[in-house]
Amino acid sequence: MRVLVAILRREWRASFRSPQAGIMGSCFLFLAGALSLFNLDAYLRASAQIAVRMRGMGRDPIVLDYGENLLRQDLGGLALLVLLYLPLLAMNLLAEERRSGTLELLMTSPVGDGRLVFGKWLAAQIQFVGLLLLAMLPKLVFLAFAELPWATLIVGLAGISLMSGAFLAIALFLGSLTRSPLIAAAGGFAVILLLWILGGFVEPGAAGFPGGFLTAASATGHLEPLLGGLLDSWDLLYFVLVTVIGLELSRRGLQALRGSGR
Amino acid sequence: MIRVTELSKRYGELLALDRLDFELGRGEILGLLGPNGAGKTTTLRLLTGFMPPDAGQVTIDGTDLRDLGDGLRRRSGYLPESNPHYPELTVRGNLEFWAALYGLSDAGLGEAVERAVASCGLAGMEERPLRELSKGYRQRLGLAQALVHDPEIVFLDEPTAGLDPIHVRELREMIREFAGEKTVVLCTHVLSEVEAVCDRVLILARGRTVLQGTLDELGHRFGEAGAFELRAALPDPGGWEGAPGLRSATLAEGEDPHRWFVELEPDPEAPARLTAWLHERGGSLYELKPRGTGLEEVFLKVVGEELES
Repeated sequence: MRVLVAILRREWRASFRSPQAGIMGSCFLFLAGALSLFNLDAYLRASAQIAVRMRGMGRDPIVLDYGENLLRQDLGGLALLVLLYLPLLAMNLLAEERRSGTLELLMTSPVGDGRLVFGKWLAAQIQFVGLLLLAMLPKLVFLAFAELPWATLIVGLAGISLMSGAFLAIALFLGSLTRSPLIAAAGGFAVILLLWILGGFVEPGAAGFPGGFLTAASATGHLEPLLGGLLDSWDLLYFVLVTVIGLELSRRGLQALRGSGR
Repeated sequence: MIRVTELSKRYGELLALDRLDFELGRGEILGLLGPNGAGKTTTLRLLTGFMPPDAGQVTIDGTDLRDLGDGLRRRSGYLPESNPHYPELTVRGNLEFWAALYGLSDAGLGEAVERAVASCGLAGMEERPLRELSKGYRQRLGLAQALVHDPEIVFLDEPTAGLDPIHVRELREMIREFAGEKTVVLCTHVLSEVEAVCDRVLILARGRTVLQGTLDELGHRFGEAGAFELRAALPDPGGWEGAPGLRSATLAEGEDPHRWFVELEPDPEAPARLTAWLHERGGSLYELKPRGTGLEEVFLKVVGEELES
């Protein structure tokens, strides 16, 4: 536990002292804010049009609320940003340690490959979830005007966090294979993008192979229900499974590194 | 304390280490010497448990390295050739991180860091960010990182590479200071470092052990009996005429007119008698040393033979 805390603390300090992490985090928050603003703008225009139409029909205009639709749009935008941000966040976790040589020291310390991989993953995951919550902070403004659909919000954020955990584990594995952070990021992005678009290759509701398989393996297919506030154990299991597989592969990546001596 | 038996490692087709054997007692300093690519770093990586060997065994106090696991790691410290640090942390931050990783409690951690700082000459540098440290101080930090958890065994890979002569000397003194207390394996291709710091030497070439022993043993084994190099002003007139126990004397090539290679009778008293004779006859002796016993001669001879074979 002490070791895990040491790893988390170092990653935490590193992200606060490196300009790279600060710039990346700021970009994430800026883009999240911008997307949210676009969504709100579109929603307001639509609401205004509906209100005009309602008046024309002699009814009361509907009241603005931070409705399920708008929330879903916002969460969807954040999920999209995950795709861009996570490979960059993960690229330094192992690849940079390997390049600088600290990985050799870590691997000859009593940490153990499993704990090292888990500690790195957990540090990045906490960092990302923190950023996610920061990105959601401005939404609290809506509390002054409307009810927040808390259940949808919490399930949606949990869904994005689960997905980020899974993607981080994959990116971590790719980072264990290369000395170059850039290659780690590019590889991570490619694999994550593939998981993202996998479901797009098949008709919705397809069964059997390859249709059913691709749908089952697609990250978006498992994220969509969560963003809508729908909690399904299969979707949770999918992300947990991808995370566990990614972490185990990362551990094996480190072991392969020991064998090759590079 | 450390016993290495028939240790071998292969990278694909390349046999990086071929049946390495040695034993190292507690508190001894072993110099692992060899040209680039001889297998020195591979040996250290096997000893630190970074890599598993393909064959052979390493035991620490009789227990196999593979069974020791974390036990070995807690008992050993390592300074790799690349001397890595976390640049975003300060000197203290780096040391605290490694101390925590080695399981030191919060109470012990501060004390351990202070001790490492003091023993590696980093006092006053604790709060400096890494980018403000010179190469010499970074190397000291590397040594402090390896020592912060007070290990019994220390593995050092080229600890003085690229340093200026002052830092080299200071770092060597630091290493020498923990001799007797810690068992050290020092990997280097700087011959003078081994002569200055080590008790024993093991010379590797192309993954094979070409020579090992204590420095004295090697000097004795490779020194030619009765052969000396000396610098002296000879009695004038007469030169070497009538010198006791002298078999032959040759003026060494070069600009120094006082440098001679001499061969004396195989008698332990012969050098003393020659010295006394020189003194009586009005000559002066500046330097007298057995010939061909320097580590450099030994190294060039054995490594040259191995590479030619």
